[in-house]
Amino acid sequence: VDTSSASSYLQRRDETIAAPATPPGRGALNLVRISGSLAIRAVERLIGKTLKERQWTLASLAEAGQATVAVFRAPHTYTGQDMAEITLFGNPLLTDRLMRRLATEGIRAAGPGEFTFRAFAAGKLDLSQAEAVQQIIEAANPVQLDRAMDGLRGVFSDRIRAFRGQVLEAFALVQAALEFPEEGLNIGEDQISDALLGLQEEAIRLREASARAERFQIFSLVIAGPPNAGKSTLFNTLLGKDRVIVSPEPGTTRDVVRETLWIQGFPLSLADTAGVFNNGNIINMMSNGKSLQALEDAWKILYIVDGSLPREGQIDKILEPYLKHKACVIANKTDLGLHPSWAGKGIPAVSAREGSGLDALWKMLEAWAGDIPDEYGDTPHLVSLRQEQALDGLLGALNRALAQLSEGGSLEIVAQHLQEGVRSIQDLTGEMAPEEVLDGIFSRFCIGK
Amino acid sequence: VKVPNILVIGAGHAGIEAASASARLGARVSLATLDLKTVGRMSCNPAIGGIAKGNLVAELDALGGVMGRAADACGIQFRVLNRSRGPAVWGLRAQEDRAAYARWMRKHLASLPGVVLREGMAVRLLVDGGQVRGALLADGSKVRADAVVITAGTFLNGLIHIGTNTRSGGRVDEPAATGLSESLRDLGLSLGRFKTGTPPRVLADSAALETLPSQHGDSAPLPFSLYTRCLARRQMPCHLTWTTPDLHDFLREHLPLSPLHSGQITGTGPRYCPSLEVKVTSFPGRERHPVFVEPEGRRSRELYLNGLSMSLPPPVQERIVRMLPGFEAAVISRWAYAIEYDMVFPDQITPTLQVRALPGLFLAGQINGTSGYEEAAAQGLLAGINAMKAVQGEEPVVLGRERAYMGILVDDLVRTRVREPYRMFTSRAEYRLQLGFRTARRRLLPLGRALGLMPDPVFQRAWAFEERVGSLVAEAEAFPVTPSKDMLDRLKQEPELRLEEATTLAGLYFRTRRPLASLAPLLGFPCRATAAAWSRAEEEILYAPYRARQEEEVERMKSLWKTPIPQALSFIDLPGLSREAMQRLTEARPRTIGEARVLPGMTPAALSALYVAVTLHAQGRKP
Repeated sequence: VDTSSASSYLQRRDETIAAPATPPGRGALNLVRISGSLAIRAVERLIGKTLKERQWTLASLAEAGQATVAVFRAPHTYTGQDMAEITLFGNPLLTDRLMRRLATEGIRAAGPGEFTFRAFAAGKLDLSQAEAVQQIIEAANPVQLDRAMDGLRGVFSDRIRAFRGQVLEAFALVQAALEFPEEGLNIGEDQISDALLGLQEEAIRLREASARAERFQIFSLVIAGPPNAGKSTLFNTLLGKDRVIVSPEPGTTRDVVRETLWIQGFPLSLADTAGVFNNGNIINMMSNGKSLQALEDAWKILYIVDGSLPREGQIDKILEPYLKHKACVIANKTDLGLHPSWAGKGIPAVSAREGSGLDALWKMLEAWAGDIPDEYGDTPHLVSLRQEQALDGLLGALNRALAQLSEGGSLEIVAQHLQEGVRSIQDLTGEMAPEEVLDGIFSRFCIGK
Repeated sequence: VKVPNILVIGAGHAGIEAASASARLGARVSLATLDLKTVGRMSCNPAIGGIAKGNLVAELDALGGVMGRAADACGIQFRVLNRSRGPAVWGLRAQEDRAAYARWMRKHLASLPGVVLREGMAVRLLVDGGQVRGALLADGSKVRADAVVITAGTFLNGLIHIGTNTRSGGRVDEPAATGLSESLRDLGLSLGRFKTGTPPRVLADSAALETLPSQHGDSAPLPFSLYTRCLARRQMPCHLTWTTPDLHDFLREHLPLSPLHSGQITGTGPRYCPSLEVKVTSFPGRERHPVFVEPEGRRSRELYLNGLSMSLPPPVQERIVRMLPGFEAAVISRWAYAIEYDMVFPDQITPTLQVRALPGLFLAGQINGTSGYEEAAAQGLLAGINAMKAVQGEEPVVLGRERAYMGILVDDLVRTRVREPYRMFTSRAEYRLQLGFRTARRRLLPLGRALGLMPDPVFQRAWAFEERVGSLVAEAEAFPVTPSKDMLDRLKQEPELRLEEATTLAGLYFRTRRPLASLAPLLGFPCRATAAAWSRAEEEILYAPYRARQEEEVERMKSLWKTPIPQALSFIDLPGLSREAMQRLTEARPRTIGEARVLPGMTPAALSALYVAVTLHAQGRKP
């Protein structure tokens, strides 16, 4: 949750908001969600009848055609407010008309993350869960998405809760050694440095899990190639479903489309790109920029060429830097015959349309996936930069504390650094008041003359 | 000019400070106590100070309080605890002669012309136009006052438990104060019930102290007070014994006889000072607990068994004491007991210790839910000062958390819901490194003088030392230590003092922690100073880097706190605020974020929500 918008969202919590919940221009259906006191009444006015809660009703909307609608009453909703959901056919024009109609009912378009913010403000999500929702929305690849889902399910919250307990325990140990020298607690410097090292280890683990999640972005398998080489057909064939619209018209695909492709239990982000035109010349297609970026970010590139046509002019020069280490040329459309200029070069030849030659391609993909080090295990990761920075703050403080300890510095200075570290992760773990640290001491040690 | 009248109810540690301070500030003080013989009595252990607590005493002293002076005069053993740690967490603690201490306090009060001691029990507050104007005593007389300070300790509806036997009392053999709690409740205050306890005392002749390990005072003892030139030469030892597994078994067998276990005691006790029953049941894995054997005074025949507080019946107590090594033939002179008493939840008072809803009424000490002589005295002094300030219409004294443990104490009391008797710990301080007990004078002496509680000659002498320390530090920071031939020659005999790069005397001390007093002559540093001044300079240098950072932080915070809250801003339905916070804000109508911060129920989250609303309001946007 972005704090700058958070404060304005906080102030405007009484207003009713609406937003398409599915990305524009994709899929067969679009979902529009509404949250706030006007939500239910507005929808009922739209379809001209009263609605039972939590029941999908088929309706015909003047502005947006056939739709299904459902309403949910506060407080048992995602945002804690009255909510409504309208499902329309997946035409962005219909969605746009519906949004305009809702505006006349006093319902405004939501800002990014505003639904999630309301859920957070209503106490439905804790901060790390709210951030996980943002991540789900923004996830660039399936691995990130899964991690974000873990966050939402509270796996991450549990991990942080356990970590918080560990921080409190170590802090309490240091404080007890300083506060109660006469009570025979026998807290040795070794015990303290063990506790701090344990803390450091766990903080590093959390931090690394997060860094790994970033690296997963590069496990993106990009399909690229000249226009009309059959990239989208291959994309659909690999996925085993018609995900993108294909047509014999060159340049049908105008955006980068992603789907999860599971290979040997490993999720790859399969991306279909718009065709890159001859020799990188910018043709008037906005999407080319995105395609180029996708190439740059790719883990592996399947460079699809039309095998029935001559080689000449099909291998774009922008591909050259990638050919050595991550791109592989695939000759498609072999059902139309393989042009002799492709023969004898060890280039896999397939027909995406007929499904021929795919075994060799799968084998190659499996070999690639097998090379990915399986290092992400089951560690839930940090999902936001803020959380990473909080941990970095703690790690810096721990390093200073441990350095003090090993140089024979005074324990009260060690405690000072630790206190700064604890403060730096309060955003992540919630406040840790002195009272709570004292609780830790009293439950663990018998204090008191 | 009319002389202000202040009524102080209770003559314990808090009441004495309140009476003494307001009298010295020019008030005519009535100090009401149930029994004139019990003025300044230490109800619990015969000791003053300790970790964090000793710092409170030093702060009190710098502001003109009297506890430190009495403790120095009547101390029989002085020790700095935590010597192996840095000076920020050193704790000065003194064993006291209980009888001498009370005598000193009575004498001090008698020396103040403005104080009139008065025996009697206050049973009802007199309220006139919403303002507290005095109290009605049990004998029917009315004491009129411009302000009233209640420092009732454990006496409000005190209930003493020994075994299944309960009786009304404020201390053993002293009556409880009845009536006043009901009066406070009638005036709308919310009261709670806390519990504390005290261990048995035994006749010194009956204990075989010679068989026990002894603890001695410091060979060069430090005083609490800037008045004190030298401490008594002869110090008395304490002794140490331990509970045994047999004793634990015996106690467990007889637990049903403890009112703590029968449910007879309902008040909340402090976890940092648990009874023996709690220690044994909560920590079953521990084979023994220490018992500190403390003398009650130079000529006293009694010993105080610190660590053995309980509420079991006398025959069980006797068996338990006799199971302690060294106490096989012990004769108990006073039984241990537990006591329950009324307290006022301190979220009802302001940072000046005045009751928010009852102008003219100040509360200090255990009535505010604290425990400890030092915590009580600190509040007593502030209540006495602020009662006078209120009557005279002057700015009250509120100390910041960064400035003194006294500030932390009051800030915690008014902002958080106190769930158990509140005791000071150094870990409550955000800036612990800056609050060492020896720095109290640097921090607070000028304020003490400005208040008028510090005679000029006393101030001048103490302040001259602080200035000397300041200049020593400045010169040590400016004195260059470079790896020149001359310097390396000087350091030839000290191979551990590697000198690889240019630094200063202060820098070299910071890195090596070698005493300045030995480094200085070695390096040819031209200044001479006393051991005390060197040692203080070391403390300043050691924590200087943290001090700079703290000062920055405090500045940032303070400027945030100064943010005004527009009078037009309504707190009702402000997003992000709890119902409780909205209500508190509406009632208290704080003028700044800083004032809002000290209202109860203002969590950091609530405060930032308020800050957002204020910022938006300033931009002309509707929150």
